[in-house]
Amino acid sequence: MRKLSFFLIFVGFVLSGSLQYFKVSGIRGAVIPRNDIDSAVIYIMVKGGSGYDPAGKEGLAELLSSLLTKGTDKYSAREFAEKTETLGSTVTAYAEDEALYIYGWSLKEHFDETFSLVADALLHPSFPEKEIAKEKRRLVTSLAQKWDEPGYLASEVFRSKLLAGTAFGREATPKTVERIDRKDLVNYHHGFFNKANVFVVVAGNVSPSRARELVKKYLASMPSGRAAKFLPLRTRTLETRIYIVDRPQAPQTQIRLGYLAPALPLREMVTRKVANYILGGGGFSSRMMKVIRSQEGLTYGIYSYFTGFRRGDYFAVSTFTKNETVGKTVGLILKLIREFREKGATADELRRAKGYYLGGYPLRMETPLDLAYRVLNSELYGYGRDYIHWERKFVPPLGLREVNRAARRYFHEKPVVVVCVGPAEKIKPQLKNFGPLEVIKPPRF
Amino acid sequence: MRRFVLLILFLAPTWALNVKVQKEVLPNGLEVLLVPNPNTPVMSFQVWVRTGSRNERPGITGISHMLEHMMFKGSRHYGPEEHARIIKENGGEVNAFTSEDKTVYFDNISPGKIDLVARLEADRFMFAKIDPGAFASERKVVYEERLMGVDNSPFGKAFELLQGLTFMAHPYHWPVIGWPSDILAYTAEKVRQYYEERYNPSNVFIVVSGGFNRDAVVTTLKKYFSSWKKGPKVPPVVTREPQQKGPRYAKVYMKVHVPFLFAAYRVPPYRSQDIPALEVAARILGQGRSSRIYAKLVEEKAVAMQAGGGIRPMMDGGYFFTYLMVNMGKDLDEAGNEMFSIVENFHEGKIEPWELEKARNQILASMVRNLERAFYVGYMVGESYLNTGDPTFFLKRLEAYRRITGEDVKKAAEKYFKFQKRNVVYILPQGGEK
Repeated sequence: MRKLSFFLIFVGFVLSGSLQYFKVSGIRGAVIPRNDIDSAVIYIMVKGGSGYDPAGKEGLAELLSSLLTKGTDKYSAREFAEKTETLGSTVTAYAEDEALYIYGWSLKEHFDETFSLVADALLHPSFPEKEIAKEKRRLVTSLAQKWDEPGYLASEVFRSKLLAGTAFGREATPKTVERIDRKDLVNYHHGFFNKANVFVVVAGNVSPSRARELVKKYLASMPSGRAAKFLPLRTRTLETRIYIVDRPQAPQTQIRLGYLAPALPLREMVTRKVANYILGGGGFSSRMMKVIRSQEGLTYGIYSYFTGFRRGDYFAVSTFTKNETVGKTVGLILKLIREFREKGATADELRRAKGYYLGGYPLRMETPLDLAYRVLNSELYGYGRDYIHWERKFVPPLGLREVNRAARRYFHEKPVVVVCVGPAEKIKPQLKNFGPLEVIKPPRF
Repeated sequence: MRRFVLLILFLAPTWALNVKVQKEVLPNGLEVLLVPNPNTPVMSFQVWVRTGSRNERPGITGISHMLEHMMFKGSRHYGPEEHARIIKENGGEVNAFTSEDKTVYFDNISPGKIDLVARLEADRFMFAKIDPGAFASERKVVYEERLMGVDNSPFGKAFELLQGLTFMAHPYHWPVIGWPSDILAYTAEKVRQYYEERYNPSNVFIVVSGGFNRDAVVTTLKKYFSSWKKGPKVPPVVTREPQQKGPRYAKVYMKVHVPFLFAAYRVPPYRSQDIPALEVAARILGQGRSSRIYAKLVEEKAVAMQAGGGIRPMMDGGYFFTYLMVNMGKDLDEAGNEMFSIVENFHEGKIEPWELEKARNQILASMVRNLERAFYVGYMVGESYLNTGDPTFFLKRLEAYRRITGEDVKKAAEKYFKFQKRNVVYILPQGGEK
């Protein structure tokens, strides 16, 4: 126990002692120096993301993120790639629901140059027409290709059905991507890429003063503007619905099951997280894994999680099983949720869950990228600075009463949305008793 | 007791990586590699077994992987999955993986838990249960894993076929997870026999990396592993893959919207002196947006959504692989031929100095990045030791990368990236069979 405490203090020191927040030239950020390693990372979050795509032009944020490094005022797409890769650096941009991200990782000796490349991509993308056409073609093909993977298809259909009617339930399609033009990209960039809307994290082998200098040197010219308002989200699933995406020749069925849930303040979010660990989030320690994999041999993997947005979350269970055992697997999942809600966790389960989160705290902070991502999450979800050390602050005092209250409040077996990707003819009869059922055809491109 | 210390410090600043490996050998022959790093609060404890799918035979393909699963199903003092639960409740990560050449078990956890980890690992390595009831259930789990990763996945299917096409005689021919009929055929008794023959100190070594107290680790390992009895070595693999005299092709029709291909050219074993030049060639050809394949097919001609390649060195010879996913409506054959021409004519053109510099920097950067995690430090040391007997071989090789010239790279490419040595798997949409 003394050793564990030492390492908690060690990690706490690394973060508490070194994590410094700053505001430089109107830009907010944080720096986490680590001089024991040979690399550094600049990670920038721009609030916005796919949820803010204009109606009918879904795919815009994703397209924009891929175009940030495909031509700037200074470099062509090819020059940018050659320059970055010759340094051995990585510069990557991507879009999520409520934010776009760009990060640059490099050896410490190439960090200044890598930082300047990230800044160039962030502030001065030129959106060349030729590159837009190419990226649109690639995006459409990648949509089709991803949908060929049953696991991805199940997750996408589940999200779209669960979040239908909200900004996050919309999907990019070839048609919506085709409608996007250069003007949309430029407008989106003008609308979101401003000082009020970004947060910058510098981590690794770079001093706090140098980090501030780099922010000032390369990012100070970013325009001022307004922060994006967070989008609303319904937080209650209204009725149970079963959807089967028919793939007649599939040898196995992918299953997703879940419901909408409220966004919570940090302390309560941690309580729910610990409860979920016991039910389905804890791997071999979870009830779902014990029963559905270890006892019944129905699947190779099953896990549950809460994920979501600033204004709401959703609960999801993800697994797969052979076509003959889909009904049995869905039934067992619902039974486990019901039992957990009604009877709660045991003291032993809670002890194990708390041990996992508290003891694993150092493992989740091992690299600069791990640290940077945690700081950005805290900023996006508005959890405040307590989020950096949430394990240490909120897990030790958690009792069985709080966890079982969370089990009653945040877990239920109906209403739920269930999506199965597999042969409808075989799985439909197994699911008819769970609720209204609809067979849908896989998307065609 | 043998003990030696290797300290590798490269002189040129850009290439300076400091990894210290100490080796201990217990009286029963069990080798232990210690890789200390006082700056990390994480310890990675890895048990490497010198058996994988290359050590199997038809009828029991996948048995190494099946045994890996059974190692989580209980031992003399712990019940099914209890090992995993105990590691998790102590904040650790526990898992294992099987490949063609090895089976590796790992626990990533706070260093203060060394006694716990060593006790758990020793118990399952010396006294695994492998009981028929648990086996029957776990076999179903493995079957589901295969359906998910291979039979219900276009990429998984393509990869399995590619390896089967590239190796005709060598055990690399069959998939690590095994053929479905074999998974359904072997018994708990067969798996137990495999365990008793292979899992002994002659075929196992331990790697511990990260922030730990050396003396505590050595004392603890002696305490728990010294009574483990020596056993026979895994029989050597004698089959050598015959020379390939012509290209091989396979076409599979599946429910896909986007046709794609995977291709492979065999390369020599991990320890071969040709590998550094081939890795540089692979990076110039296929790694990143400025690589030749991507620049031509995705950027310049815009016929592909994704294209590239890399090298996969293995104990008895691996392969250089390429992949190509064409944009909707584009011709896969045409784009594929263009890609093969880039690869197979690579040795004829000039390699630009910036391309060499890029490949070298990428190799160094990826190593630095891996060295940030205790797990990867242990993995790189283990892989080096398994393949060469030298735990710091991967660091010594950095010098070879630094010295490589464009001519070396072209010479290696000319030797291995030939039309006659090409293996290609096409995954095509159903309905195009006629």
